[in-house]
Amino acid sequence: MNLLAKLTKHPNTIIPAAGDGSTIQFLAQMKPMATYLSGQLASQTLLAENDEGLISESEYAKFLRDMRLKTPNTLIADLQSGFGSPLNAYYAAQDLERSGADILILNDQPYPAHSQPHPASTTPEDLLGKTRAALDAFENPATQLWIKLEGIGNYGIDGIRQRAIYLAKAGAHALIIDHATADQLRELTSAPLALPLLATWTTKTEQLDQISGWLDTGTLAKAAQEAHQAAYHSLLEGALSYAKK
Amino acid sequence: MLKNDRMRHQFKTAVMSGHIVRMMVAPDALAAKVSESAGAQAVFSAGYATSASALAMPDRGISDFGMALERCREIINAVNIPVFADADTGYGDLANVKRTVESYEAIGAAGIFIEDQVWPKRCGHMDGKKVEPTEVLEAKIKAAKAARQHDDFLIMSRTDARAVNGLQDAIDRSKRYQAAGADLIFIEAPQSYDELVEIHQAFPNTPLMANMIEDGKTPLTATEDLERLGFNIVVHPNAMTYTQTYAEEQLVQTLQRDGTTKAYKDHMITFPKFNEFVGLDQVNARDAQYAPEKMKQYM
Repeated sequence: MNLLAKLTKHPNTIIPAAGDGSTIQFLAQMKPMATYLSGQLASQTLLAENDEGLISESEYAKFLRDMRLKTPNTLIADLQSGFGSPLNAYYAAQDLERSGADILILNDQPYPAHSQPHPASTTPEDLLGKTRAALDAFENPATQLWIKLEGIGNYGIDGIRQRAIYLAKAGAHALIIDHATADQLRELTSAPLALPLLATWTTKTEQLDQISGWLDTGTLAKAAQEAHQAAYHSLLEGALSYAKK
Repeated sequence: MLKNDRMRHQFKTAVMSGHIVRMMVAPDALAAKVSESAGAQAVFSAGYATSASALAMPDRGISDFGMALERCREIINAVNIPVFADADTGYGDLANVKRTVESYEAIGAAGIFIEDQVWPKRCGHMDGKKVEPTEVLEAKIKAAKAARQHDDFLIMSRTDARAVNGLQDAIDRSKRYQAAGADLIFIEAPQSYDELVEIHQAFPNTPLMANMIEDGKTPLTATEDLERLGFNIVVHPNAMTYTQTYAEEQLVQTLQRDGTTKAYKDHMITFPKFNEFVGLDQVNARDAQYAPEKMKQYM
């Protein structure tokens, strides 16, 4: 049974995001339905940058290969916006699949994609070219391509519906909606879409039953960062009380 | 069957076929593609060539696991023939051997050899080698066998003991490596044709590899002779590296002398032929396939 079928059987499942070895190790023990190796979080780990667009495909793929060895979980990799043109998307998809990805997520930003709340959107033709290129690059028929639509602020609900029809025709397996409010998601799910629908998730997201699954954007990384801050303050307090003595 | 499985199966079948498999060591992906296009059945990714190509340094244990793995991965991805790999000493202890096996298997190598030199190792045909006690590689072979996911991923033992303790010790060690689970045996740097014969007599039913280095310790022997002796694999580890170096030196000397490369042009592939060789037409065709106007069919 593929991940989409499992998600349908288990509504409101959240797929955790990871971007470092200890989270991957932890999730390997927890056995979630899948793990998302986020480009943004990988960029944080490898480059100390909070922006997916700064990490190259080869740097990310090397990290993916290392993480693949450490987890049996279904691994979702970040194809970003294809790392260039549809031609780049073809070779990037091929490399990420060979590096151990079970599912790739292609977003609809122009290249380079950036981790930001209001990203620009590429043309439908460019997105379709990258979609077809990625699908043509796959060797394993079980590998899936999910498309993350990040431009609801640019093209609205109608734009999503239209893109869903195009992308379904081109062979994409699912859609993920990013940067949408609960009301927008409610409106979107009020009529059937051409593809299974997922949405990105944060701790503030209101989950809706009509959404097949939720893609976490970094809750574990945020919790780890808060724990680091707390530990650092304890460390400072410890140093101060030692100095006072 | 996916490429990695297909390549492993293809290589194992060839090695067990009774006919010798001849391989060049490819210093890089381009050399591997040259080898493939000239009809090679398989290629080898090995330390001497990687060290030379990546670092311009001798094979003295300076290039490491990460470098060797990445080079091998590039080669595997560039060709559609099996790629066998030199994994040196396994790059550490048993924990490293496990990671080495998992990693090479994951990138799609057909198999690896692991050797019994003391790290930092050196090329098998260099002087001054040292070998570990037999137990060390014995344990590494067991660890490698336990770590592999597919039986088609072949594990070869390599001993460098011939130069250090003599041929009999190299044979005795290899018998223990075989008992520990090595699928293939490689005794590095025998010093005569008679020693090649002796090696085969010691392992009449085990696949063996011979290593043919120009100016090395072992007499250069024709592939047909090695096949007749019972060897299953012959590898030419340095020929492509030496040829590249020689040709590039001649080229640069020509340029220094003439101020132009014109006099050397007859020794080069041409611009159109090279582009054809690396598949420019196919890449351009793929690029055109996803042009915006072609995507209108989905809209």
